[in-house]
Amino acid sequence: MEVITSLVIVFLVAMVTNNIVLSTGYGICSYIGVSKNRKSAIGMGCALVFVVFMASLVSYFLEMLLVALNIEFMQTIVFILVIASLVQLVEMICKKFLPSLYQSLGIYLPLITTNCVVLYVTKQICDVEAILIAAGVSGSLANNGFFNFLFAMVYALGTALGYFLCITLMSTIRNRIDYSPVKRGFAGAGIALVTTAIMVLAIGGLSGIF
Amino acid sequence: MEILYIFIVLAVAVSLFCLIYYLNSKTKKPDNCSSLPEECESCKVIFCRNKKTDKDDETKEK
Repeated sequence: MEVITSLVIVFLVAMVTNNIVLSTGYGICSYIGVSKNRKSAIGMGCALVFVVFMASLVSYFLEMLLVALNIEFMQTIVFILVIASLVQLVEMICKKFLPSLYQSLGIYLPLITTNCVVLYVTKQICDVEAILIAAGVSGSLANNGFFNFLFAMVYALGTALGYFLCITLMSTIRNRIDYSPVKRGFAGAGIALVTTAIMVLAIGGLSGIF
Repeated sequence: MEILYIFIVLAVAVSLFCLIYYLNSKTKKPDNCSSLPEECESCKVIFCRNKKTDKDDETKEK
């Protein structure tokens, strides 16, 4: 029961309380760029969730391999190559089976490669104990290999869904802003950043809830 | 020995990327989705939804 509760807490903390965009500022470039259009925002969010989850799955085992071979310092470069390969794979799948999503995402799909959210999550899951401590959960749970893997995947999924939630919310807000009278100096990215600041305050109010 | 491992890991990762990149470049783009730089009339419009057909319609209207 303790494990399930901890899993839920880690998921909620990764998704809401420590939202990657609103609490750390990672991935803000694509968040501002793609949130103009709701359909593209949802597409980008889905693509990112898929890439983050797959990249985390692969890099978790890759990290074990790198540790076993005593070449952990290769972590970053290997993870970048894995992420780049996965993005190419997603692009290929979109071209073949989801042409409308491919059309709406346009240049942003290959840009997931340079999205810092993916690299951040893949590097974070290599230290599950730190994730658990940040979530206020007992770090001793990370001693079990299976639980360690489970927590890492839940954290990766929570973070990716946090990005999805954030970009979808922002696209909805910007959709409403389009119909509002905004001063010329504030229009576009200006009002988007002000809105983001208000969202940061809202999310900041939840910190320490768990 | 570590040097050898580094080369093997790098070679595998790079060759995997090259293979998927090659397969991706071979996959045909969906219809109506032309290359972006040719179709973009403004730097702000970077979505692939600027289709050739839309442009043709505009020229017809003019």
